[in-house]
Amino acid sequence: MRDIAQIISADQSLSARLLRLVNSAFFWFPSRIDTISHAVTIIGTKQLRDLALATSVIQMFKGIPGELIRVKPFWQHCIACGIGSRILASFQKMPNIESFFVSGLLHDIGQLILYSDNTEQAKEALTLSAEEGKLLYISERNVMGLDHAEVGGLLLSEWRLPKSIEETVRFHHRPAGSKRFPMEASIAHISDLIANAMQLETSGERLVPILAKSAWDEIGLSTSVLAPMTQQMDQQYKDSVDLFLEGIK
Amino acid sequence: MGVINLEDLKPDMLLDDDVLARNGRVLLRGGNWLTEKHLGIFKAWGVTEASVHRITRDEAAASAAEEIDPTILKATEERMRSRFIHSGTEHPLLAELLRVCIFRNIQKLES
Repeated sequence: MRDIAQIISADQSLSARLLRLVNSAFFWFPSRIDTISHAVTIIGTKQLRDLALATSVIQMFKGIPGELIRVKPFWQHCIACGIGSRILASFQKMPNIESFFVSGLLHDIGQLILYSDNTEQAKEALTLSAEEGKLLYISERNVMGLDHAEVGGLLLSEWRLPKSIEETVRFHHRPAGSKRFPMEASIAHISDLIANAMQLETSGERLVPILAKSAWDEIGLSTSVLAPMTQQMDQQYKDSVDLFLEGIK
Repeated sequence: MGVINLEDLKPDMLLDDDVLARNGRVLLRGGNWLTEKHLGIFKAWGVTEASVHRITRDEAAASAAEEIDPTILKATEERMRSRFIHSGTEHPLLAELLRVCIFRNIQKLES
């Protein structure tokens, strides 16, 4: 436990971002947390590691060329989806809700690869969606033969991130495909739908995706969670979005 | 009886069933009349709905909609619906999501 605190503390900008995050509406702790070792004790090692991963990935992709993807709105949507996943996981009393945050945050990461490596085809997919009102992941499949969810899954597998995160990202548009982590994939799927409907910016998609009904059955919550959930999402989003996107235009 | 959302619960409604916290603890037994204080406790314990006497979810939603200017309501609903063309709103989750988003947008306009 001391090790992770030491590693994080050695990176000043990472520690500063994490401390701001643990003192935000994400946690509502009654008193201020001033050191990483204190944060580890209160939040937990795994949880803090996941939050460190989340803020670092966003910073890593800071410089990606923004011809087809506007980086800031892209991440704004991803953060909203991460927050939604985290709240659904907390309604479900899942252990380590921060790993749900990371999965939600990374759900569209395949777009960053797909759209920077295949500019012409990506343009075609975006145009097809804009002109014919098709869902983006369907246009991607039509034009490129695969979609951003699959590419995201491949990327995270290369990175050797936990399988639960990899599968969640890979199956966020067809959660029934996830054999080992159906709850995780279902939560990201539903949260993506909600974040899209709330219009907390967009990663390119402007329409609410098709619901995989099995995902809502898998989660097993009542629809009455939506009203408090969207309120919490608004609050946590407002309080954390600038912090995650520091330095991103 | 009907299960309605926390936000639609009001003092002096008669509770039909027990209200449980997310951890399963009983917060209030069925048969009690709701008070302002109960509603605060429900919210703090993460309760999102309760079953009350003689009011259904649709009636509760309709009475909340009555407080909004019908022109604004209609315009916002049309705008929001256009985003649900692929998903549809037949599924109860999407119907509620559309409803919540309409209210949220109107609240944003007002603030």
